[in-house]
Amino acid sequence: MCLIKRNLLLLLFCLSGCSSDLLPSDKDIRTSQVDEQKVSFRLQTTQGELLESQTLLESADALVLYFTMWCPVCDSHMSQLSRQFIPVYGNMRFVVVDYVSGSVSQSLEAQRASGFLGMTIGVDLDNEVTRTFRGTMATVVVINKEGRLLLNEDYKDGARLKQVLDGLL
Amino acid sequence: MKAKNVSPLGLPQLLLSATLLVASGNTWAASCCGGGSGSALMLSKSAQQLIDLSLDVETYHGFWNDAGARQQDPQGSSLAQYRLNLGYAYRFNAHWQASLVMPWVVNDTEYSGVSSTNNGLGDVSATLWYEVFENITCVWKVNELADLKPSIYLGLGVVLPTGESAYGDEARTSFDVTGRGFYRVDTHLMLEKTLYPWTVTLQGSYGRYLERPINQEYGKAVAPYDKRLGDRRFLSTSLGYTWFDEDANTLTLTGAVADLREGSGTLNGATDPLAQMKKQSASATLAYATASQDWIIKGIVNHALRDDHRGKRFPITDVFTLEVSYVFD
Repeated sequence: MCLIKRNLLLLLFCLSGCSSDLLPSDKDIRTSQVDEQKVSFRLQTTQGELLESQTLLESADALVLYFTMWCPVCDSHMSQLSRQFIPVYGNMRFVVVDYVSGSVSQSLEAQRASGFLGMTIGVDLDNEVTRTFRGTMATVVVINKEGRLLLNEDYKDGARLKQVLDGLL
Repeated sequence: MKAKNVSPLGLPQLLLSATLLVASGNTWAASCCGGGSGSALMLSKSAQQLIDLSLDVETYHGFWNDAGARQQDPQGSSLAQYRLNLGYAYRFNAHWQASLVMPWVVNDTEYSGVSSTNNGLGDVSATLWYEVFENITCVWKVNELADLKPSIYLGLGVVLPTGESAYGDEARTSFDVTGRGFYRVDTHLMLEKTLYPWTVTLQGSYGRYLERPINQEYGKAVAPYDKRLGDRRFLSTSLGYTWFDEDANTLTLTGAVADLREGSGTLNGATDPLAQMKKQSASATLAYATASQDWIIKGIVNHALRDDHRGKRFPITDVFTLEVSYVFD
């Protein structure tokens, strides 16, 4: 009996390793508040347009990217972006990055099925944008007019995005 | 052009969170009388120890959105999660017992443009149970009022963030996630009454996630903040029927319905309504137990109810489980 219990506990500790979730930290481990390296990329939209970051930023004060995989969380966030951000921040350009569909037609179908036809969907055909920003489900990115990265993190409730965009007004 | 990225991607965090939520409520093993009609990893009154091994296969069939409307997953996608759960239960005395469940999670993700397989330890759960009854309450016939007395169990559980979460060191994308990253304290109440051949159960759980600091997301350093997931409520009721063969081995068929919800969470103390979730499901269990009740074998099908408003901001999944328990002294 004791042997079983001891072995189970040992197995648990071995398998979990030194998971940082067991002892979470509030230490700020960022190296810089703003990434000084300029970023640029291109995305094909579901409407057949080729978006270039530098061109977009010539006519907008900032570029906001949101990474979607058409999941429930993404659906909530995209609804919020569509209702509470896009109409308010008219001088910013919002692009939703589809990094899972792999083709414009599949992405357009997902866009249509989920009712987000009014949003600009950029299809990351070669995953270059996803790699550049290490994007994943619900990653939100803000790039300023100079092409510098101001935000690259999980969308959460949108408060951080609002804070960053307000700072650009 | 189609890019096939076979990088370490796996199921998304939310899909996983759904499965972990349900899994902890669906670790079925024994019951007050043994025989496998129970809905928790639990020992019968006469049993001392139990080892349990189960395999869950969870398949995804769209999700409910904010408004509770059903949405399809993208065309060409195929999402599945496999969990191998190792459980152990030990009886301290006539009233107290405890259990531990360790899941090993495999995420198998296929989209038109991305495919991935990833695996790792999930979130480990432990539960301490107190039985508010002296003797086995299973009866064949009601002769007096006392025969209607049910088995009542009170439970106190904890879920440990042993899996790979969005906030730990290891996961780099949502597909890598095998755990939620939060401690959770659960309280359980379970009532069970067997009047052979029928068994009725009612189970309720209330879980509270503990707030934690976060300073990274998928390995990317972010401005530190505090987060707490919403309180979890789980309700389930079941009805089972048991057949006995001539050697007193039993076969029990149980049908159950369940309602699982999580409320608003918090971000830096402010309410986060986007953390809310809901899922309603129905399940059927077929359990075979030997007369000595040392072996129990089960097959379980858990089916998410597909209608609109049966869920909210949650994946629609079916779970198929094969489980073997061995009871010993």
